[in-house]
Order: sequence, then C-alpha cells, then structure tokens
Amino acid sequence: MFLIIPEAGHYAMYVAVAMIAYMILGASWDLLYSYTGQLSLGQALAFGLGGLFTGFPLFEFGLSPYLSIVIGCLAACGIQGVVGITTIRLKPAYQGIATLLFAQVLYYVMQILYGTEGISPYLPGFIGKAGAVSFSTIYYIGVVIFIFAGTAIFALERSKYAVRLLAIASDPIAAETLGINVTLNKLIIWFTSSFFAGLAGAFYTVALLHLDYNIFGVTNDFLPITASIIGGVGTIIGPLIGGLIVGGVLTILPVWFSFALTLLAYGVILLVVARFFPSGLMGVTRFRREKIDLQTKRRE
Amino acid sequence: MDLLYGLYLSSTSGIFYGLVIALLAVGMSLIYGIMGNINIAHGSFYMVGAYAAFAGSVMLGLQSGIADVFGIAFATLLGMLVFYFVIPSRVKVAFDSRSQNRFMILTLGVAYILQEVVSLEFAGQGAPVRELLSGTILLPGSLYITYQESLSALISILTFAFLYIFLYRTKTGRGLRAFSQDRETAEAMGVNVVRIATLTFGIATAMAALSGVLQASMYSITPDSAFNGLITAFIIVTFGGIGSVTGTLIAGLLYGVIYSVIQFFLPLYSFIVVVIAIYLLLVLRPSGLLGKIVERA
Repeated sequence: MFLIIPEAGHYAMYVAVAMIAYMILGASWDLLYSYTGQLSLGQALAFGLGGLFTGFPLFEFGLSPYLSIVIGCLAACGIQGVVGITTIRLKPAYQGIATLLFAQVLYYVMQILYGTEGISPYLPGFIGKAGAVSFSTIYYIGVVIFIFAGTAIFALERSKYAVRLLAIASDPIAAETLGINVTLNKLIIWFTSSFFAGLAGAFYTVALLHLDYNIFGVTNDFLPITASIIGGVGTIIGPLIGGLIVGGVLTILPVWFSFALTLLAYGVILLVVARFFPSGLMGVTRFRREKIDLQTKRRE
Repeated sequence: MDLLYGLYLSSTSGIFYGLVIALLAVGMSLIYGIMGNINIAHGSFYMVGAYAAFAGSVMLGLQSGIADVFGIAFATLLGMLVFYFVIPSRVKVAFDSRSQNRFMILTLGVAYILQEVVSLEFAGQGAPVRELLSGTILLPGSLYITYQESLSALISILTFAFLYIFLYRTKTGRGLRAFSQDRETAEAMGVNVVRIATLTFGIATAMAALSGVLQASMYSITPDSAFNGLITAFIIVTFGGIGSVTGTLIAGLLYGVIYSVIQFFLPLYSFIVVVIAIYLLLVLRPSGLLGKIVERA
C-alpha cells in the first residue's frame, strides 16, 4: 500500500514523511522510557541534533545526503549520549528536566545563530552536489529508513536482552543484585534511543530541505511522548501507531485549523489518554481481547 | 567609568529580579522537596498569573491592585483544578519513579495546553500588567529605581517571611517539614499525605502566580516565559538547595544578580551561559551542593 503513496502526490508524501519521522522518534522515546525507566523530556535535542548535523553538511557543503544522515545520527547519538552520561546519577525527576534544559538551550542558540530563516540548500530542490532529487526518491529512502529503524527496535525490544532491560525498569536495585550492570545498560539504551531520535531528525530535515530553531522546540519534546502514550507505552507497535497518528494529525489538521490549535488539541489528547487510558490504544485492544478470552487481566 | 556604572546598574536591577524570581523557585523547591515531584506546569502558572492579571484589568476593568490579586487567585485556582482532576490520586501521593514520571508527563500536557491557549487567546503578545505605583527613586550613584521595583521587592520579602513563619511556627507548617524529613514517621504521627500534597501544590502555584504578576509589572511576560521560568526555577533550586526556603532566597538573589550582570555583557547569550554553568555544576559537584537530587552519590 505504501508503494502507491508517491502516486497520490506531494502532499501525501509530505504527510508520510512526517509520520515516518514521528514514528521513529516516538519509538526512540518509548524504548528509553519503558525499557529502562528513564524519562527524557528533551528528545528534541537528539532529533534536532540529527537534523542540524545532517542539514549543515548537506546544505552548506553539499555533502552526499546519505553521508550527511550518518553524520547526523552519530552526532545526535554522541551528544545526547554525553548528556545522558552526565545526568545518569540524578534522580528521575531531575534527569527529565535536565534533558529539557538542553533542548531549550539549543533552541535559543539556533534562534540566535540562524533566526527564522534557518538553513536551506542554496538552490531549491537541489541537495548540494547530489543534484536534483525527486521527492518520491526521498519518500522511498524514508520507507527504507523506517523499515531499518522499525526492525532494529523491534528486534531489540523482543530480544532476551530486553528482559534484562525490563528488570532494570521495574526494579533497578533488584536487577543490580542479580548482577545486571544497571548504569551501563541504561547508558547503552540512552545512546541507542538518541541514535534513532537523531535518525528521525536527520531524515525529516533531508526530506523537508529546511532546518530552523523550531526543530529543538518543546513541541518535539512533547510529541514523541504523546505518540507513545496514545499508541501504548511499553508495547512495540504502540509508539509506531502513535507516531502515525501524531505525524498525520500534525500535517493534516493545520490545513483547516491553525497550527497553535493543533498543538492545543495534542495537549488535550495527551491529558485525556494519559489520565484515563494510560495503556493507550494497544491497551484498549488488548483489554477487549482479554475480556473476550476471559483471561486474567495483566496490570499496566 | 562606564563599565563600573553598568555593573552597578545591572547588579541592583538584578537584586530586584532575583527577589521576584526566587518566589517562583521556592515553589518548585517546595514541591520537589516535600513531594519529590517536578511540576512541569509550574512555569505555566507563573505565566498564566501574569496574563490573568492583564485580562482582569483590561477585560473586567479591575483596578491595578485588584487585577493583580485576581490574576494570582485565578492561576492558583486553575492549578488546584489541575491538581484535583488531572492527576490521579495514586500519582499525587506516590514516591516511586514511575509515578513521578507520570506526574511529569501529565503536567507536561497541562503546560503545553496552557501555553497554546494563552498564545491563541492573546495572539502571542506579551502581558503588559499595569504597575501599581509609578515614579522612580534616585539612589546614590545616579541610579534610578522604580517604585514598582521597590514594591515588588518588599512584597517578595514579606512573602518569604510569611512562608518562613508558616513553615516554622505553625502546626501545619511543621507537619509539612516533618513529612519532608521522614515520611513514614510523619504519617504514623497523623500527618495526612493528601493534605500535604494539596497544600504544597497550592502554595507553590500561588507563589508562582505572584511571581508572574510582579514580574509582568516590571519586565515582560510572554507565553515563552512559561518554559523559561521553569528552567530558571530549576537552576535556582539546584543552586540553593531543595526544600530550603532561605537557601532558595539567597540562590535566587545570586541568580538575579549574576544573570543581570552577564546580560549586561552578553545580552544574547546570557541564558545559555547560565544553563551551561549550572550543567557544569551538576556534572562536577553533584553531591556537594545538591544532596537530595542525586540517587547514588
């Protein structure tokens, strides 16, 4: 089905691109939250860094898009990883806010450095020395990236390693006594999560051919959380479905309503879902299936 | 010399700024110190207080002082409604990291909604709260201080004094402090957790709103101030010690002065400099200055 999307035109591909980016971003946040219990309120940092370190080589120096994306991912992974290392010793609430702090700093730095113009390629449609690339090519690259990221995260979250991580998430002290190196594993996943968030940002920037300070904004801290909660925190498909919804609504709703109203709607949806349906969409379907099967309900 | 005068000027205005912003910080310090939660919407209530005061004076035609009180009352009431309806009872009183994370996610949603609603309602413009007193005082060294600044400083100091009296001289206040020191024993002694949680949240939000109103009357408050305020409060609390009223006040003053001085030299980058400084502090001396925020020292 997704093969037909390029036929549907530029706008459809634009929606799909946003969906892909937010699916990966949401999955990266959930990986961190549900599998190691670390709350990142600054996922926009890695997202934006991925975008920044991809956009810069690509737009300013005309480096190949593929190489730029790799640079972006590694930079995001590295930098947010370092932030993770330095905040690992802080209590959960403090770690959450510290990550937010950084995303905000970069938001202001970008605003000062590039203002509302941001960075764009010199010639529209041309990606530096790579020449003109059609949007459908970008779209297919996105699909490939999504399959890669999705498979990787799926494999990670289904592996035996994941069981160890879940132990860390639910009871770090017990996990430590079992011989699991809690700090090391938390950091490994922090770096991994940052990598995928950076990948999402890198792709998003290449696809949109534009980068400005908004990529570090609170919105991108907030949307992966919304995506994961809507879809179902802790499930594998949950954040992906959530990302699909988030990306879709983000690009479709502003056509009729204002952007600010769309973001407002998101806030309300997050609150309603987080408050009354903490298991998200996946939780609802699981619940109904279990009601029918009359099995014991698993607590959230 | 120009430089010296600039320093003099910025540090004095920094004192006033610091006093007002310390109010915001002490709210966060209380919530974190007593309940272990961080209210992401704390800065939002700071911002809403200012805008509500503005709305009060313009839309309801209230007089300056009454509009300010209205603003504070509105924001505090809003905060209590959020606390009552948005946060599930379990999360309100739980201290495990899971619940604290849920608390932060929920308050993040609230913060977001408030920011967007205010943006939409006021078309993104700042909140010009009319000052209570106008006119300036001439201080030695050819420095002008507005009456409003002095009034705000006075209000802030009085509020801190009241807070101190409340915490150290009243039965309820002692209950709060006892709870923050030893939860189980305090509960065994009859302290009601839900009451503590509600009271802490209410006081913190009220102080945030007061801070916002004062701040708006002297400088400017925009929807962006919500998250800015949150980060500023976080920095001050980190600096000054969690749960300590006097510590937060001193840290707030220091922050105000340092920030104003930095702003004098590097107007654009002042915020970034302060954040990096606090980050270095967190990294290099996580246990020394901060105590309760580190899990394993």
